[in-house]
Amino acid sequence: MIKNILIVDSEANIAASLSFLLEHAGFSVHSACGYEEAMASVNHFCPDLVLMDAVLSDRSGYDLCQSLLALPGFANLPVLMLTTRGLEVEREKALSLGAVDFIVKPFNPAAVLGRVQELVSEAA
Amino acid sequence: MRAYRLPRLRKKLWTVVGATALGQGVVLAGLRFNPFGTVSPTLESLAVAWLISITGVLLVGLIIDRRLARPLVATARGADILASSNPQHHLEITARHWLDRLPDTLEQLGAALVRTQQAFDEAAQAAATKVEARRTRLETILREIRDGVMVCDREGRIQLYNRTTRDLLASEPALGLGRNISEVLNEGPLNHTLRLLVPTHGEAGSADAELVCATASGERLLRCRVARLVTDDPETSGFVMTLQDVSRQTRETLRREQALRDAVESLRNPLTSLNAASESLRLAQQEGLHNETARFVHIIAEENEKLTQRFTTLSDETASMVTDNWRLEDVHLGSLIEGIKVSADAEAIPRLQCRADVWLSAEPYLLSRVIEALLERLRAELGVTALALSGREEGSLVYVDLNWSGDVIAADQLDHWLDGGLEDVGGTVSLREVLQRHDTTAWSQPDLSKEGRAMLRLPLPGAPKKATAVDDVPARPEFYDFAIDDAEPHLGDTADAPLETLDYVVFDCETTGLEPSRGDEIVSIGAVRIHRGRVMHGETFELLANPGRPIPALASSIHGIHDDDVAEAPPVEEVVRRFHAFAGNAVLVGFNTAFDLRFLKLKQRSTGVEFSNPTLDALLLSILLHDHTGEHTMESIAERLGVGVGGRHTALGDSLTTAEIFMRLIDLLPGESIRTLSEAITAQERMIEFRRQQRAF
Repeated sequence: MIKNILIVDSEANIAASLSFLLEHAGFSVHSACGYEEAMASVNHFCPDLVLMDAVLSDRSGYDLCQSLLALPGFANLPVLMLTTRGLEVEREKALSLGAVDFIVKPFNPAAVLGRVQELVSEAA
Repeated sequence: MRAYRLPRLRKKLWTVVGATALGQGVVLAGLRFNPFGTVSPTLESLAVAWLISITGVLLVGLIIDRRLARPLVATARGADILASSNPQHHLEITARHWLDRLPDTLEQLGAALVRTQQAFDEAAQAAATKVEARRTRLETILREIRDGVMVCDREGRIQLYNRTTRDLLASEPALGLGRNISEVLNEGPLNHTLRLLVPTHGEAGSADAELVCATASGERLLRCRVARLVTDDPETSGFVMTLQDVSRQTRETLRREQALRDAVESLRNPLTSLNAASESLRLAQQEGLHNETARFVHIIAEENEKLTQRFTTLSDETASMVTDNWRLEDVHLGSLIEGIKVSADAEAIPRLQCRADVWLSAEPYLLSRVIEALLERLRAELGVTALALSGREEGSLVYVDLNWSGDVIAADQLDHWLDGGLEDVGGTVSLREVLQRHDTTAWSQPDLSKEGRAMLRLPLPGAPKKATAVDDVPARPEFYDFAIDDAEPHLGDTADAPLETLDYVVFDCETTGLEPSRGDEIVSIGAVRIHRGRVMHGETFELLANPGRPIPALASSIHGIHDDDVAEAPPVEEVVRRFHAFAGNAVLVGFNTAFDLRFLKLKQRSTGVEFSNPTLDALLLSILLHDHTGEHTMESIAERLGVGVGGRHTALGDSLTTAEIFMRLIDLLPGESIRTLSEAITAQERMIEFRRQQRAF
């Protein structure tokens, strides 16, 4: 069964490339550029994993993470956080607020792809 | 202003004359209106005689008053002035008097006193020369020290500060001798550090400590090194502080750290995007997806552009970091060149014609060595024997041009020069490195304005604009006072403290009119501090205030302050608050103080500050002391007491004149048995009451 991946990133170029790579790897991908768009799409798209930037143009990615996990039926949704902030405390914060992993930009796309595949398998 | 009070001697005279006349009047009335209703010719003659007698008594009283009592009173007052404040005072008496040679003799005594004083001053001067020389040396050292220096007694009262401290704390109106250090620096960190310096039971305190603390106004951040002053006498112990302004440094460090963090973070997204787009491009090409390939090529180009921009920002930031590690100073180019002329071998460099009245931000020694090296090369390799050196400001840069008659320096030749090392710095630093540290380089080009001439152009960072070099501080600023420990009154003792030991702030307000209750406002406040009997010309306050209403032409014609002058000035409330901080707990002194104080007190509610200081009025004290005359304008009092009048009707000018007048009045007050503040205030209140009664009549 094809798994759904929701990408939330305000950087359109990053979202475009990640979408292409994930779709090429066999996932169904939907992109949102911020909090509102992500919240609006989550119910009809029903993601199996969310790949999101910690810094969004409208609100914090952490807010989005908490809001998503609070939605009925999404409490165990795996959220993979991407961030431009390299501080170790950022990782702690992300994990504390519900993310399952945390990847600092810039990253190797293959590594992200591999991690997404792992997390989706674990969730299944 | 005229005010008149009958002196005691004349009161007594007129009491006697009045009583005599009254007695005679009673007798006359008894004779003129006898109970039998008849008037005998004998009695009438007697009455005429009595009338003549009364007139005679009054005439005699008047003559005695004019010729004897008044001149005597004026002579007594004049003698006080001669003895206490102005030995050159000319007695204010009428020409026709019965005092014979007494006034002349007194004036001669005054002249003799002047001569004696001069002789004494000369003797004292000679004796003090050695001490003075040492003190001057100390003052010179303190003045020239780059760091601020401040000495406080063990209570934290400021005993000394140098010019740099004054400049560093220019925004702190409370800075002044005798004021507490906690009024100018943030108390918390300072007290903590001072506690570390105090020996505790069984443990010696630290000899010195360092702290970074903000000024009371929060405008600057200072690095302070505090050391205990250990003397044999615990009464004279205290601490000495050196102060450095680290506001800019701290702000710069924070700004740079933030900029670097931002710059690094800003690289992450383009790099991420590049990685992902490259990988996507590879896949798209592999599978022959032409549209996707074109799309990812476009993304890569976009991200490449972003990366380039962010790299440039990061590069600039890095360059400024390197430069800032050098101690760049404000350097006057003309002075720098003069220094080169003196130090360089005159035969080794071209003759210099210099036009360089501009300021640079540079490391002076290394830059002068670079310019000297370039001059030597020009002379040795191009045979330039004379050149014109000029400095021209343009934006944030100063273009230093060396201009000579002849050929330009070939680019590779100049490169070779710049790569050479500076000899007396161990050859380890090249000219190019020094220029790079100043964020610049040098090049040679033809002088397009004059045929046959070439130039070497060296752009350098300019220094912030210098204020016109007007130094309002006298050559011997009264910034020190080691005598504070001598029975300085504590708060609460002020009332009984001798007047000469108190701190005063003499102030004056210029206003839009005379009626604050009808909307007249302050347009300027001037003030000067008096500390332990000295008018502190270095501790003055002078601020224009924007009254928020037009200044009437009549008011402007008096004080010369017009609407345009106050357009950019802070509002009255701000100026009043700053003056309040300047005044602290000092006794406020003015000339007709009630007028100025009324303006200040009306601002108490809107400013949140309260003027509850004791006040004295130089005008009232003058009337009290010199009741022989009705002349009590500032000019006439100043003339009487031998005080020069300057800057009349400017707030600071009037304050300075009033301060000098006040100092002389204080010298005269003991003659009226007034020695303490409470005695002066009581006498002043008596004067106010007297004037109120006088007005009622």
